[in-house]
Amino acid sequence: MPLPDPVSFRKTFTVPVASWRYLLAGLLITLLSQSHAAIAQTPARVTISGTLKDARTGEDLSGATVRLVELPSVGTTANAYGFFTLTVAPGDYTLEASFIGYQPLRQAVALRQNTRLDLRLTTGEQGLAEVVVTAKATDAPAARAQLGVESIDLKQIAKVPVLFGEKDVLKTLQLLPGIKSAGEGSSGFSVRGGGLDQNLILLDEAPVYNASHLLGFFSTFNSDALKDMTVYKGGMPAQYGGRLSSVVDLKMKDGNNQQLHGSGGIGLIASRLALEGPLGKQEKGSFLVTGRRTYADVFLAASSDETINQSTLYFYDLNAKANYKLSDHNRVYLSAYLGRDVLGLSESFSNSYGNQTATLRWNHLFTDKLFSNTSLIYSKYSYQIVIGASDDAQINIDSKIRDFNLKEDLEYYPTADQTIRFGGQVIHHTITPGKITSTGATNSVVNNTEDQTNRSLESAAYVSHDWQATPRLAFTTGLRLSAFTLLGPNTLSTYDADGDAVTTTDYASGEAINTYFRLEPRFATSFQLTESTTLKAGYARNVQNLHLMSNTTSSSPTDLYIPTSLNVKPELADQISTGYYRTFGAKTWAFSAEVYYKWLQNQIDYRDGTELRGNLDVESTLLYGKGRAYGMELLLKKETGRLTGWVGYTLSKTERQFVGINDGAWFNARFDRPHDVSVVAIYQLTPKWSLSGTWVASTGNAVTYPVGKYAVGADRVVTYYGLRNAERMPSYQRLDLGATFEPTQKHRRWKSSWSFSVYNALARENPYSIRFETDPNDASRTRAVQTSLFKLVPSATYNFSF
Amino acid sequence: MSALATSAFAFSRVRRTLIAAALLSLTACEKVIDVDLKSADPKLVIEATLSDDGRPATAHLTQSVAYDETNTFPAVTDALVVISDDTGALDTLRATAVPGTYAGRTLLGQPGHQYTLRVESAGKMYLSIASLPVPIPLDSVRVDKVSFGQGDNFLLIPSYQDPAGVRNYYHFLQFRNGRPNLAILLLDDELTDGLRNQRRLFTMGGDTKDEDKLIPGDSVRLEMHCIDAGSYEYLRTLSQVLQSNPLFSTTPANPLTNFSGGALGFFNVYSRQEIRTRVR
Repeated sequence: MPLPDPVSFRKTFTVPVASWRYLLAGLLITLLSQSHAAIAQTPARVTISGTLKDARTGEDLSGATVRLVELPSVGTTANAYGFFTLTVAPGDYTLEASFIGYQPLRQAVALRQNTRLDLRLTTGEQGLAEVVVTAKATDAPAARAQLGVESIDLKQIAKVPVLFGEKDVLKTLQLLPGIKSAGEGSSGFSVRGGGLDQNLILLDEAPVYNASHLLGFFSTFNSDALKDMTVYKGGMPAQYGGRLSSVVDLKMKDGNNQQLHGSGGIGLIASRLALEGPLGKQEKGSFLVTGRRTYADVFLAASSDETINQSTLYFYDLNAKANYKLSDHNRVYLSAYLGRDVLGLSESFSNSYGNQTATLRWNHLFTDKLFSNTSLIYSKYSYQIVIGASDDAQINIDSKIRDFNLKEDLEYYPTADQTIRFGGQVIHHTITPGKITSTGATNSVVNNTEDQTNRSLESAAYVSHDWQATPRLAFTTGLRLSAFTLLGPNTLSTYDADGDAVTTTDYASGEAINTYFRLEPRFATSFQLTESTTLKAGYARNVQNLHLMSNTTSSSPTDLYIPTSLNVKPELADQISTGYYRTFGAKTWAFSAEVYYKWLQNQIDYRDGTELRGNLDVESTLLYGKGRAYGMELLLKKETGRLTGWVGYTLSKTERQFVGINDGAWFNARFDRPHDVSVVAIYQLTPKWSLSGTWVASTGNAVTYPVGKYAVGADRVVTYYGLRNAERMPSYQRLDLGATFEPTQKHRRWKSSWSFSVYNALARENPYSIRFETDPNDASRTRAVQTSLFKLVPSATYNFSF
Repeated sequence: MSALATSAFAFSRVRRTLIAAALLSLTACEKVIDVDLKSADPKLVIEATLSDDGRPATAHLTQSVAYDETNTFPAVTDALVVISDDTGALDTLRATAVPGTYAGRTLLGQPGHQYTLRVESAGKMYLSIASLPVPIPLDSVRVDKVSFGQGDNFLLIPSYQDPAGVRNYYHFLQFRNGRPNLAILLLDDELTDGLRNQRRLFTMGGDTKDEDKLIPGDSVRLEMHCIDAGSYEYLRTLSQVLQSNPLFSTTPANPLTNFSGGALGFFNVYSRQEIRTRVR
């Protein structure tokens, strides 16, 4: 393919950005002047705005609903920072604020002029008898059109039993329909038939590139540090982009702005400690610091095997966050995360890896209708491997992906029935694939590899419009323009269909090598049939420019990201979905059914036999193809009362097609598991004891099985494999049980609780993998051996707070 | 995968050791299960060899069988097997007394030449082209004691000077007191171009048996085969299939053969050297 002149590319790239900047400036001026004009005159409409907070901790209640009782079709939800605004005609109203788990608050307001009102909600945790049944109020009208979205109440899932007793949001997520686990005990997941790398996992807006610890068995997210989690399975709003399948938006707690508090836990494999408290006076600010460390190596030391008892195996996480209110119109947040895994095998080998993120945010209220958030985000994932190659020599392998990200999001609420979101971001990526250096020896053991660092810019601009057109009909319309620019210096090759290099070109420092522009339309609509029944439909296109190279089933520390390049085109996903939603039993039960169809383009796979290594000319080993995924997801949920939980069922199919695989026929993707059921139940038995259980069952993974065998050499039998993923592993089933004991300790400062759980309580031997080998008892036969990982794993955790 | 790669990059295997330690000791378990397997039509398996050791080419032809059958692989006795070189010489391999085995008579392997093997059987033709590399002198071999796992391990370090600027591929056969170690021991120079080799020969897969482990007093013979890229790729991918890992399995794939036409196996063309030592 002839390469376009880089200069002309730069031109085409800068022009839209520049014009977009003017557009933004123009829009801002218009928005600002409008509201000033409104203040100057006798208002025909007035705005009530403010923040919603937890009365006890001062945490922002993002997602809480605010409505005016007198105007049934008028309402809004507090944004990510607890800010809400409503613009209505002047008058006397009753304002109602509600949020799940909180007592609803009603307050009379006489609206004559623009009003600021900060509201505090109190939790309903006064013991079982007093628990107020607060149904999740109907979705706020402005957000009503969104579909394929699930919010997870972290307080609720705290009681869900988990492996080793380590609360893990990413594992609980996998209990929702449409979200499938990557494997037994894994924190990796596939959403609606997508790949493990097609999920955008954000921690306070910073992308986390490897969200797992300890070879994938634990997520990097310490539940103590988290406030809420929202997952978009499809049709994500236009402010999100960069991954095909889903967005998992995690927000860290702000910290208690009333009093200094601590909490922690001592568990089977890890302990946690958190400290939070006010910063400054008069609720100006707060901070939170949490830490977690595992001590799995203690078990290793008990082993008699020298290799094992001299090994290191642990991880830790540190989360910190602080926020400070500079004025009613300005608030700043600083959040940071640091996590690291260390694996060591006596002196011969060590590997450490982990993520670092930092987010600096500035909330600014231009007017009571225009909310702005500016974020400066840093994110890095790196690993180091050190190998003792001989007595005096070491081989080091270093790899990293590092981002600097500037993001601007604006929310404009012109009327009570409309919200306009717009903004943009620029991310500078630096990716260094495994760089090898040899040290210590007089004669090198290996040659140092050339620095293959590549740099790129990922930019986007978006606008999104939420509109409650009538009390029953709502629309969310959005458009996102994304651009991906590969920057010099770099040496890049293009490859033919066999993976042989055709051209190789050197690019100078700072040169824009190639830019891919993509438009991502997003659309969703909802129609309320009756008070309790809603229909929704949507379409969304997503683009992905960073691609994870991994050929194992589990997430691996040496996973490598590669950018879109001259050969690798941006991955595209188009998804249509529609859903039916119904509440019944005085809104204690919610039922939803969604169906979707997804088309995937520019998907990536390997040629057979590829061994992934950091230094390899990886693009020569790639194959490009397409995918399709479709399915139906049913969810029945109960969020209030003594019994809470849900039943989910997914019927789905996900397939891929590559010229070089299975003779170009469609084949099952690895996570194609047509049937998937999950049941989650939490029951408050007595005020002190609560019981919980989860049951999951699914079709086995799609796998490649032998279709024959043959001999090589004198006496080796080799398996002859059939078509890729044409067969199925046996089905999967698991029951986990848990119990939580919270003694009555109302008036004591030190509070404690115990959590007990049993993972795979029925001791079912679920297939993790199946291998085929010569029967050791009869050399003339071969046999299939199934490996199962966990059964009947008990755990106990002691939690405390003060 | 070279031994360096084995030690440096086959992290998954180290991982396996660790994770197996951590997890297996807790709860993981294995059991033999019945799997209902489909069966493909029998495929021709060709294992042909030519080296510079002064002996003509040989070929062994068998067929694959269904996975649940016993390990009896039918010999293919009625094939036409012809070897030719880049100078135009031609030799037809004749069936020998051993069913399925064919041997040439006139054509001998010479370093620096290219050889083509043609097999015709049951109306189908299979073709492989391979080069016989110029041998890289194997100067010496050293025994290295490594503490890894339980007790000491004695590993061989072959010493040779890799020539700079060209890709080289090495296949080693290790014999302990005359008994061959079936582990596939490979080195290449992707990361060591132009260097004197200091890397140990070992695989971390489960295919090194206890009876192959070296102990003081053993007499060891090491054969070094210089091979071309095609043979190396076959052996590397064969070793992947043989070392399939139960905990971190990749999607399995058949080895990349250097035969066209859909045959299994490979045409192994190599220059051969050997060296002996004693473990102390």
